[in-house]
Amino acid sequence: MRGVQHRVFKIEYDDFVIVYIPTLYRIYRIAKETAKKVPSYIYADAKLPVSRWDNLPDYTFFGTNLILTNKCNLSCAYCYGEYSPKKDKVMTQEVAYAAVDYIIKSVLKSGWRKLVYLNFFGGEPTQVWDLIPDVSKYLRENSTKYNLRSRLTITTNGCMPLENAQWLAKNVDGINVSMDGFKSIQDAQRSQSFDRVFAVAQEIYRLAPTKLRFRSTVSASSVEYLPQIVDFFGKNFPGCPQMYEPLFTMGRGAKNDICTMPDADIFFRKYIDSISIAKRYGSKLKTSVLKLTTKSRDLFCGVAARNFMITPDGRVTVCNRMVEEDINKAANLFTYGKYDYEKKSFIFDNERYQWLKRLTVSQIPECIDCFASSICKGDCPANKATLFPENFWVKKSFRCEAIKRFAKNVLLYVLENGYNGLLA
Amino acid sequence: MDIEELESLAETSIAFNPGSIVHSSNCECGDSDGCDGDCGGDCGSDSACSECTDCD
Repeated sequence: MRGVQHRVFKIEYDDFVIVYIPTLYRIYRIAKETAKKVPSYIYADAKLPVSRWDNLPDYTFFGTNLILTNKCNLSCAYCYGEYSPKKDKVMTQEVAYAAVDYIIKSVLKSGWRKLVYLNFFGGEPTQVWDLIPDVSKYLRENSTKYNLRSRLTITTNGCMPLENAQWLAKNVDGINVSMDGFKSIQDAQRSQSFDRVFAVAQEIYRLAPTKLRFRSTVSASSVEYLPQIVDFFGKNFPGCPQMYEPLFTMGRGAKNDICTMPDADIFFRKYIDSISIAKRYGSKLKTSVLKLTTKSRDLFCGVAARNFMITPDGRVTVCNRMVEEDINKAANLFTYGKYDYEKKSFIFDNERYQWLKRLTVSQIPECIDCFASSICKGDCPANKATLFPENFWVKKSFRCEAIKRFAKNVLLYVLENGYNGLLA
Repeated sequence: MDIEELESLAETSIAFNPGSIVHSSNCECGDSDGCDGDCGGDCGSDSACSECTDCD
């Protein structure tokens, strides 16, 4: 035998077996009888994939997510943070600038990295509009000063004056619009906002089509229409990536009977039905538990001590959905630092930081030998923390069985249709 | 068993990474095997999660 050992999973399907080797990014269809010869490990020259982030020194952050405010001009039915026009926390310019300084310093210290990134988030970040051009300028100028590239993006509900949308189209590199679908769905789930958001999205698409992407929350009411929603976005905004996430019972989402979580199997089935529709428009579909191609073998996301997200009051967190500690009791588990106005720097809780590093799928006993865990990476830790605050880091997903069925169907889909980069 | 032997048994085989994914022309992620800008997280702030950002 030669080379590196790679884990092989065999998934039975009718009269054949799907053989899946996640660390080689390969799928095979093999006849059932023949598949009996295939062992649990094979050897290949290719090394096990390693994310470039795996061996960075602690507290090295090349980017940040600035949660500028918890105020929002909408009151969406399912909002995890219960954001609304009544909230009033706003990040100070000092904290925003300090975050930019920190990430630039991290990049320079690395000696190899050339790119620094920043995303504006909220609440609704455009509700504190003055901060956006201000901090953008600070990022761009300081990056240029050190011969670095900068990537600037924003996550927005799309409800803003057209001139602000035009500014964003011209000055940022990516605009993620939270929009749940065509008029009846958007209006029902997101505060009667379709007309305003659609107009803004059209303007951004007119000016900068490659910068626009959509993120949609799918409820029990809207899940049946997922293919039509994908068609709607594809027809009106061809080529724009579309991300779909099932509604989760957090914040307002846990308190209303009208907008509720969809059945996981239905969501996943409708998602697969929608792939061919998205392809027609050259659009890429994404959902968070579908990670066929990520280099990191162990992480669902940057929650494992890789995210440097700053809350409006200057706390440092790994998850921008776990910000409002009075809404979600588990939120403090994801906070590992804060800005100190006296020291003029961020200070960190090292014990919490080291604990967060362990939020990996390899810590979950039931996931260790599962073929689907290399695709779902254990599912969202924030959702699990909300459901099982006592020991969520060792719990498999609440929708584990549905994810396994989905993963099996995705592998079958790729075998039958190929993988051309349109399936995220 | 090595990979060549396995492939000789297969009726169909699909490879979806690396090699099939191309960096954008100004990508500087330093990852010679390619990336697709994929990012984890339900949060929707794709560009803020540490696992992506380099490819347009």
